[in-house]
Amino acid sequence: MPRIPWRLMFAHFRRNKLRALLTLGSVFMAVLIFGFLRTFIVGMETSLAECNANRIISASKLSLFAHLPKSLEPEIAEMAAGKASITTFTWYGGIYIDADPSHYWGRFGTDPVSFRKVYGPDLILDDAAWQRWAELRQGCIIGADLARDESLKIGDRVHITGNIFSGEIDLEVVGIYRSKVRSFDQKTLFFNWDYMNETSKQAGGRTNCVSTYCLLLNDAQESAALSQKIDTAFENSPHRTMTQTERAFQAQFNSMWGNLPLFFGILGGVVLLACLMVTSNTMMLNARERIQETGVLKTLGFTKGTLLVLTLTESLLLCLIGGGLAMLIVNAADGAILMFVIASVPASTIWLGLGIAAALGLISGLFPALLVSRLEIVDALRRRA
Amino acid sequence: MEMAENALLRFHGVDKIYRRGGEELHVLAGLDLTVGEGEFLALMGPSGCGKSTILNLAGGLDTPDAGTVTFGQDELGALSDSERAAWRSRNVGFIFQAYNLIPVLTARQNVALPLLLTPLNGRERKEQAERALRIVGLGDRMEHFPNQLSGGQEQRVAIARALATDPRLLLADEPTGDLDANSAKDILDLLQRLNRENGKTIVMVTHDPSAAERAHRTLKLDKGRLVQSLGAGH
Repeated sequence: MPRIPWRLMFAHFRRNKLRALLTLGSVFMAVLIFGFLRTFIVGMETSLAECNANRIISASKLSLFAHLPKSLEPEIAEMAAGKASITTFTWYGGIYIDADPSHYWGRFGTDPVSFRKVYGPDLILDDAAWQRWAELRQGCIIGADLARDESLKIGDRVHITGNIFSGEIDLEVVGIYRSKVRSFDQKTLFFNWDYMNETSKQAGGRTNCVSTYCLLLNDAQESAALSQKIDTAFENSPHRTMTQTERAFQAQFNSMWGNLPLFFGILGGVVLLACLMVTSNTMMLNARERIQETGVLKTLGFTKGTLLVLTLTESLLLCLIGGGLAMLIVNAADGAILMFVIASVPASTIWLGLGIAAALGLISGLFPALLVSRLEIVDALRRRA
Repeated sequence: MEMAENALLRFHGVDKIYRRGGEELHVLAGLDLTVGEGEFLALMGPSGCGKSTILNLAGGLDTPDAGTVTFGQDELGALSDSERAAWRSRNVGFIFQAYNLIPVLTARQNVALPLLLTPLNGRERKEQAERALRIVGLGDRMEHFPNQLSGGQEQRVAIARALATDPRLLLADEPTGDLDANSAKDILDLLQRLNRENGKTIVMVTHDPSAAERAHRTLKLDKGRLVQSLGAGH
């Protein structure tokens, strides 16, 4: 097996640094976009897969954004008596610090005690924090990612100005939770609904309403029957409900984005195709610039096969470095929040990204490699760069 | 020189035809030529007479349309592409008019390039390349890139590269064509020294009669045929 002049390949990278960097950059961007699109889609799918089959959500049938009266709670609780625990979520909205999107994360009013019963099994939060939250009217718990991003710690104050609800709330962080499941993110703040309602009432804003009723069933088999019972009960009221499993509710939430997998698939495909054209053009340009050099190498005794391997490897290496760097960044995003979806980066995404980078390298290097290997020495030597 | 007894290279009845766009150009027609081991042969003639074609055939870069080219006992036309490449790397060193160095490699790396095709390890290749550069008087320019060298120095690097694998045959295609008079003289002195002291067989194509005077024998070609043979100092 003849030795391959690898030093020559690296010397070419050094000679055309800018060209090599731009090619590497185009592969990096394309694979990065692919990686994030796939991460988003996998995140959506994972959050659905990890939803608790024992939980059902009851929301307004009109819209996810319409409120239900708090007064429905006793009736629903009665229907679920002995079968499920119940709590409420109320989307607060509001402005924290300023309107910058980086400060726009989930804030929900709820009841600390019932919240613990329904969602406690999915969370890691010590007893003292649960206790403190239940006792302190202005207490709140926050996710670990939110604490990190907003540099918040236990004892810090969080001041939020209402926009859906009126008034201003002033909270104290009493606990920082971690989630055991990907269907529950770590970038949300939960605080006392009573405090929220009272503040809004004092400021003349909306009161006594919730976004959703959440029930944790003792037996998942009860899910369909109880859902139907709740919806039937409010069928002819001004506040019709739509009760569904947590998974169906999450899927409905995701569907607000439209058919993202298809859209992202097309987008990713177009970006990769554009990248393939860029890298193919660059590799062909490299090969054409080195025709005389190819003639010299063949004259010295290097074979067609050696030059084919050298050219293909150059293309493959450039694309793999670009793709590898992109995948490092994508991997670092695992668990981060991307547009309300928890990013999920399984090993398959990393391997797929690297595979795409390798395919880009091999396809874009194939024609230049064939050109170089098939060149007749005499013809190659006649052409001066 | 007694060429028949110690012939290194033989052309027998060689035809070479180039085809371009349906047109046939007979570059060599029934050429018979013998080059003895240790001979320094110059080839002269007008452009297009077939001088470079003879070098290409002698170095196994091209194959004849008729006739045979034999190096020692090997008939080059009978070898496959990869066999010819291996044979070339062992037996032939090429020196081009335009030097044809790889611009991204240093002088030492350029010279070491053909040594990748030998069994030598990295350290041995480095030593051998440095030895070849010292032979051509460039021991102090080993880490220079081609664009940091003069034309004469570049041609010396090219000669060192041709020598690196210690081939029996050196093929030089107008090696002084791009050089000034002083540099050309230095290169011809070097080739002559390699022939005399190292016993290298050299076939050199040139347009320059003073360069041809350095050879043992000069063959003049016209329209693919040998028209004159002159001895040393002609």
